[in-house]
Amino acid sequence: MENIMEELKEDHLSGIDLEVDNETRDELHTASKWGRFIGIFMFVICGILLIAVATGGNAFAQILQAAFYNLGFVFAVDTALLVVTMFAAILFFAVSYYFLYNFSVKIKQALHEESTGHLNQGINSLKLFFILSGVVSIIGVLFSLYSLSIYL
Amino acid sequence: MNNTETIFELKIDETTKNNFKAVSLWAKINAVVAFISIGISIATIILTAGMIGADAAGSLFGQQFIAMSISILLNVVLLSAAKNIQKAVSFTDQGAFNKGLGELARYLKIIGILFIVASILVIIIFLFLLLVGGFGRG
Repeated sequence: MENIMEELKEDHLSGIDLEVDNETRDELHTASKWGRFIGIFMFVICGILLIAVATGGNAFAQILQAAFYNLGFVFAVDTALLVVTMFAAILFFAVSYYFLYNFSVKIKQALHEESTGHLNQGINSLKLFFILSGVVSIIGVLFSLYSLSIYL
Repeated sequence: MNNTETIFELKIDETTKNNFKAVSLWAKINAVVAFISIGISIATIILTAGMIGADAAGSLFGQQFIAMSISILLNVVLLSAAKNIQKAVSFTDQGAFNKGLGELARYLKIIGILFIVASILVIIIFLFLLLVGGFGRG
């Protein structure tokens, strides 16, 4: 019964389309403002980390090795490999936050120029940001599950 | 003028809708994975309590409590945004669309404010260390 009601509702509304009204514009403007701030903030953090890894990569690798050991990963990890992995991880974060920054820039352009093309590019960038964040989160949870399994 | 009446040329076409659908799906995945992560953290604390003692485990939980609370708040907002955007795209619900985008804006705003607070804390700690170091030498 509930499904039939939902289908009827969908049919009834099929002629009406979503639109970008004043409230939508305000919300998109706020989202783009904060997205831009977060993007720039994370670029700065990634820059600082890149400099830190480039100048003191070995020390970082040793800290990471100790952290891995504490998490229960008993296998030895090559220091050079760890430094390369850290570079790759920082670049990955920089790329994912670039998409958030791009979302903000494109949404701002879309609102300013009344351009649906820019709106689509902006939402596509937001989608890519969430996909990359999701992948990182899933990998993080798998690592946590592995370390949890050691205690079981 | 009616607030929902648009005088602008910005339109939401099929591509926008499909992108919003994908955004809501992946936002939902992010939120659910974050909840699982919090669950794993709590389970790890409970399981390690036997090894490190109840007092130490309680202290560890206390330290992580603020981070977990913030994470739960953030991801409840993200999940709500994802649900509303999905509902808006599926049923052409303008109210849910605006609500979903509002929640998304709120989610980004909370992260931004957290970054500002974290930066201020790091600067204060850095200045404190500089001061202590300076007095230590003097």
